[in-house]
Amino acid sequence: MAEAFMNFVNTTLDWVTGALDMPSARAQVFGFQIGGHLFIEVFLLVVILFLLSQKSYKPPKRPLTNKEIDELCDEWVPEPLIPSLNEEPYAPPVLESAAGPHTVINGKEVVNFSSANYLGLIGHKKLLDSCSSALDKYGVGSCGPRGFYGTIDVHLDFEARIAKFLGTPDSILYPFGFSTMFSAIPAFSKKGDIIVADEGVHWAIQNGLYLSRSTVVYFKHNDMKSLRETLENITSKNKRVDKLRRYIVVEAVYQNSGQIAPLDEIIKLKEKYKFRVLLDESNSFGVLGKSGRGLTEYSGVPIEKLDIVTADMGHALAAEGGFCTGSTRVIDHQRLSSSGYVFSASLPPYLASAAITAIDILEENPELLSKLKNNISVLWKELSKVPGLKITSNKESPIVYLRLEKSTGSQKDDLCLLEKIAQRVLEEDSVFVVVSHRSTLDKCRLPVGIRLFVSAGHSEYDLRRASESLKRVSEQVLGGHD
Amino acid sequence: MIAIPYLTALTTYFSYGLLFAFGQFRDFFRKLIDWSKANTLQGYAPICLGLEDFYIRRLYLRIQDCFGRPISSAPDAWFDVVERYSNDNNKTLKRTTKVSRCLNLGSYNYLGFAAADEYCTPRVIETLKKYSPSTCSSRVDGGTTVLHNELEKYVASFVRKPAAIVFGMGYVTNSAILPVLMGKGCLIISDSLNHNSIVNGARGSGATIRVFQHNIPSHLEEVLREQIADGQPRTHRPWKKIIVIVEGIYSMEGELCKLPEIIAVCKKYKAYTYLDEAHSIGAVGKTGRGVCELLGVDTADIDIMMGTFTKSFGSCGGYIAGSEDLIKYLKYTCPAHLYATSVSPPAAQQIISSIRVILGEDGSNRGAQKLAKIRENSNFFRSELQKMGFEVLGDNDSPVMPIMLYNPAKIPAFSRECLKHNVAVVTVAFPATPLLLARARICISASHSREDLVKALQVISKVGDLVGIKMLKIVGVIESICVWIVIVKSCPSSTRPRASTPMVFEDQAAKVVVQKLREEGEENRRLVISEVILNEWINGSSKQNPAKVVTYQPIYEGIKGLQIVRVIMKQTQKTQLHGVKKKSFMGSQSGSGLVDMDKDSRTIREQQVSLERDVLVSPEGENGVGDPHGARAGWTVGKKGFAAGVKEQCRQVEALFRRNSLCLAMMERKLRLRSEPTHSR
Ligand SMILES: Cc1ncc(COP(=O)(O)O)c(C=O)c1O
Ligand SMILES: Cc1ncc(COP(=O)(O)O)c(C=O)c1O
Repeated sequence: MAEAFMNFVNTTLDWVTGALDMPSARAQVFGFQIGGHLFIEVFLLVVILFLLSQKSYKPPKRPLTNKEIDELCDEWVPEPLIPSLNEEPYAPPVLESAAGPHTVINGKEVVNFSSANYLGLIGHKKLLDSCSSALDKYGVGSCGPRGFYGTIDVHLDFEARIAKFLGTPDSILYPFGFSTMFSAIPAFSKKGDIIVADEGVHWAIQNGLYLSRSTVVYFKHNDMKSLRETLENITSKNKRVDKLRRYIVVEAVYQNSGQIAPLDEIIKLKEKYKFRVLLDESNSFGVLGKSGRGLTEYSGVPIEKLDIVTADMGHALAAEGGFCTGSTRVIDHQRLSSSGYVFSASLPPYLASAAITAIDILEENPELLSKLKNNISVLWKELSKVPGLKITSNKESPIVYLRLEKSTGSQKDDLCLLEKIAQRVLEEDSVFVVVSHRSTLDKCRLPVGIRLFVSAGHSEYDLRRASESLKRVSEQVLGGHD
Repeated sequence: MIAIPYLTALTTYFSYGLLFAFGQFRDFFRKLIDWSKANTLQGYAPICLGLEDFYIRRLYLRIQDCFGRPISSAPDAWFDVVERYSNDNNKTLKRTTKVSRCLNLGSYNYLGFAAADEYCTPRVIETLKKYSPSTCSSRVDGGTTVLHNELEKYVASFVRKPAAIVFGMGYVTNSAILPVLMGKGCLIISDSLNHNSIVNGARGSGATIRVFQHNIPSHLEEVLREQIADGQPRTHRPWKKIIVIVEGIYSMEGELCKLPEIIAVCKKYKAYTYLDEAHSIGAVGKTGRGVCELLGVDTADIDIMMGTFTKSFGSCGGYIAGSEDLIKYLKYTCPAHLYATSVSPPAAQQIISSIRVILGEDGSNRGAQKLAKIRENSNFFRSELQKMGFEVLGDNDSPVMPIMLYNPAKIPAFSRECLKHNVAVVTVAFPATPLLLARARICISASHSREDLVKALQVISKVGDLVGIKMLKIVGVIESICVWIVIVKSCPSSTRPRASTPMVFEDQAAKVVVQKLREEGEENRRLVISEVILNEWINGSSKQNPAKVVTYQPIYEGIKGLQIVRVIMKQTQKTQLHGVKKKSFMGSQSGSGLVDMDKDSRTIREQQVSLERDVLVSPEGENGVGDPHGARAGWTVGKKGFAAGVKEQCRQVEALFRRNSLCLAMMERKLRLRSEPTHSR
C-alpha cells in the first residue's frame, strides 16, 4: 500500500520534472526565455480563476426535521397574554344620572367638570325630542356600513348641515369620533409621504400617523419656532420633497394641555413651505369663534386654507361620532378609502339627528357661546391662583388644564397626587374633576394634570365652588409636599 | 377556496382589462386637457395619487348608484330606499324625495332588533330621557354610568366569560385592543380574510403579522410550527407570545369558522386565541351565544372574545370579553377606554334590552322564536338558492350568503334589476373582495316572513336568469331519491373513522322510526329528532331487541345531534363518483371526511362499478350542526346488500323528506364539486 503510494508520487514527480525539462520549456518567445516557473505561474493562475469562479462556501442547508420542530414547539414558553398589574386600575366614579353640569354620584348631586358638554346641551329638551322622534322612526342602530344600506337620510342631512355651517363644499360623517382621525390620515398619507405633527397630539392622531406608515416628524408642543425649523429642515434636506405629499397635523385645542394652536402662523408657514394642514377641531368646534365655528373663525383664517378638518361630535354637539370636512375631492376620496368609514356600521341615526339639532340650537342661541366664554374666563382667572398647581391651558380654551407646579419627577407619582386631589375634591365638596390618565401606548410626554371641562351650563356658583375646593384641597395635599 | 371556472375567469379578466384600458385612455385625454390649463397644484403634490384614485374615478363611479343607497326608515325587513338621479353620468348622485319600499336583504339586522321593538324601544326612550344621548366623556373620566357597568355584566354573562368591557364602536374595539395586547417581538397570526379592523389593529400594534389560508386549520398549524421553530426574524429569538385571530362568521363568505380544530391547534402550540364574533354573536347558536355555542366550543378555551353590537343587537359599539385580569388590564391602559367617548346610553340600553329578550328575561319567548326563525329562514333561503343553481358560498345556519357574480358587468346589473323589483341586495366588489370574486351578499333576518323570502327568491331567480349567474348546472339525473335511517347491524370500525357512526338499528326498530318520523314529520317541517327521543321510540317498541344508538360525533361533547340519515340511490352516478380523488367513497362537505378505507374500498368500488348503490348520508343535528368541521352534509357508500332490505321503507319516507329538500341540494352541489377536479377544495 505504502509502496504503491510512493511509486505514484515518484512517477508524478518524474512527470513534472520531465515537463519542465521539455524543449518547449526552454523556448524563447519575443526574446523572453520561458522558464519552467512560467508553467507553474500559469497553472496557479488557472487554479485561482477556478476557485474564484466557484461560489463561496455555504454549509448545505438542512431543514429542521419534524422531530426537531416538535421539540422546539414543546420547549417554547409564551409570555402571559397580559403583564400582571401591580396596582388596581383607577375605578372612575359611576354616574347615576345624565352627565350634565350637575350629576349624581353615590346618591349625591355633584358639579360635573368631566364632560366636554361645552354648550350644556346634555338634557336639552329640543335635543331629546329630536332623538326620540328619530328613535321612533329609525330604531337605534343602522345595522350596516354606509355603503350597504347604512346610509340614512339624516346622515346626508347632517353632512350637508355641517358643510353649510362651516362654509365648506362637503363633509363626511364618521360613526365614532375616535376613529375619524386615525382613518382620515392614512387615507391621504402613505409610505414615503411626510407628516409634521405636534408632539402633544392625542392618541387617535398618533395612531393615525403610525398607521399611515409615513415619515413622521414631531415638533415641540405648540412651538412655532420649532415648527419652522422642522419644516425648513425637511424642505432643505430632501430634494424629492416636491413630489411627496406633506402635511402638518395639529389640534385646535390640545386635549393634552388645553393650549390653542396659533393658526395664522401655521398658515403662514404652511404656505411658505407648501404643506397641507390637517386640523383636529374636536375641542374647539362649537366653542371658539364668534359663532362657534371653531379655530378658523377665531383666528380669522378662511377655512379653504385648511385641507382637512376633523372634529369629534361627542363634545360640544353632545352627540357621538365624528366628521371631516373639506373640498369635495378630499371628502369623496374618503368615502372609499377611509377604513373607519367604509368598514364600520354607520352612526346610529338618532345621534346624527341630535347633532343636527345641536347645530340648530347653537345658531339660534348665541348667548350659549357668550355664557361659555364667560365661564371659561371666570374659571381660568380663579384657577390661576391655585397653590401648587399651574395652568397650562389657554385663557380661552374650554379645557382648563392644571399641572403640578413642581413635578415629583415621575409621571406615576404626579398622577397619584393629582388623583388624590381630584378624589378629595369630589368627596369633600362634591365637585367632579378628572385627571388626565395616560395609556402606556400614548407617546405624548406632556405633563399630566387635572382637567376641567367648562360648560355653558355651569353657574357662577358652580365655578366658584370648584375653584375654592381645588384651592383648599391642593393647598392641603401639596402643602406638605413642598 | 373558490375555484373559478376557466371561462368565467377569462371573461372577468377581459372585462377588467377593457375597463382599465378605457380608463387609461380617458385619463390620457384628461391629462392633455389639464396640461393646457394652468397648474392648480402650486407646488403641492396631488392629494390623491393617480392610481389610488383611478379605480374610483374610472370603475367605481360608473356603478356608484349600487352602493350607499340612502334609506329613510329603519332597516327592517322592508325599508324605504330613497331614489336618486344623476345628471352627469353617475359622477354625482342627487337625492329625490321619492322613495320605494323594498325588501331588505342587505342589513345586518339578524334578529330583527333594528326596528322598533315592543320591549326595547320604550326602555331606550326612557334611558334617553334619563341619560341624554351622550356622556361627552371617556369611560375613565366621567363616561361611566350605572348603565355601562350593567351592560358589561350582561355581556360577560351572555358570552359566558368572567368579565367584559364595552366600547363605542366595533371597529375601534379591534383596532385599539390589539396594540395593547401585542407589540414588538409578538406574533399575530391572522386568517387571510379577516376584517379590516383586525388588519388595522394588527398593523397598529407593531407586532409581526403572518397570515394563514382562510379557515384551514392545517395551514395554521404549518404556520405556527414554522414560526415557533424560526423565532423572530433576523434575531431568531423566540416569540414573546403568539395570538391567532379568527372570526366567527366571515362576513363576505358566510362561512363559519372551524373553531374546534383551530382551538385544538392553538392549544397544542400554546398560542392565544382571539375570536371576533361580530356577525355570529346573537345570530347563531341555540340561545344566540354565537359560534361557540353552535359548534360546541367551551368559551374558556378562547382567550379573547370580541363582538359588536351593530348587528344582531341593532345598536352600536363593541365588546371584549375575557378573564378578569385581562379586562382589568384593558381598563388600565386601553386607549379606547381612556380617551374615546363612552357608549351612548340609549344604545347601551338597547343592547341590554335585546339581550334580555334573547334570553327570555323579558318574560316572553320572543327571543327563542327569533333565533329559531333566523335559522329556519337562513337554511330555507340558502337551500332554495342552491337548488336554483346559484353558486352560493358559506355554511348552513349562517345568515350570510354570498352569491358569486364574478364579472364586473354583472354587479350593477344584478343590483339594479333586483332594485327594480323592489328587492334591495348588497353587491360587493373590490376592494372588499378580491378583484375576480365579485359577489352579491344576502343577509337574512328573523324579521323576514316566509312570503318575503319567497318573493325574494322569485325575483332573484328571474334576475339570475337574466344576468346569467346560475352557474351550476345539474350534472346527471338522480332517478330516485330514497331516504332511510341507515340500518347497519354492525359497522366494521375501519369504515367508521372518528366515530362518525350512523345509528345502529335492527330492522324492526327502523320500521318504528320510520313510522314515527312520518307522524312527527307531518307537523314538524324540520325533521330533527334528538337522540333521547329516538332511543325512546325504539326501546319503547322493541324491548327484546334494544337498538344501540351511537351518537354521531361523540368526540365533540355538546353536540348531541342525531343525524337523520338519507340515502340517495343513484342509478347514473358512476361517472361522477369516479372523480373522487381518494380511494374511499366517503366524503363530506368539508372534505375532511375523505378518510382512507383501504380495507373496504375495493368492495365499495366494485359496488360502485356495478351501479348497485351509493349511500349518501346527510347529517343534520339537533342544533343544526352535522359536524363541527363545518360539514353540514356528508356521504358514505354502503355495502352490498345494505340497501336491499330497506328500499321499501325508503319509499315510504321519501315523501316526508321531499319537503325537507335542504340536504338534497347540497348533495347535488357537492357531487358536482367532487366530480370536477377544478372545483375540488
Ligand atoms: C368581523 C368584524 N369585526 C368588526 C366589525 C366592525 O364593527 P362596527 O361596524 O361595529 O364598527 C365588523 C363590521 O362590519 C366586522 O364584520
Ligand atoms: C357519514 C359521514 N358524514 C359526514 C362526515 C363528516 O365529514 P367531515 O367532518 O370530514 O366534513 C363523516 C366523517 O367522518 C362521515 O362519516
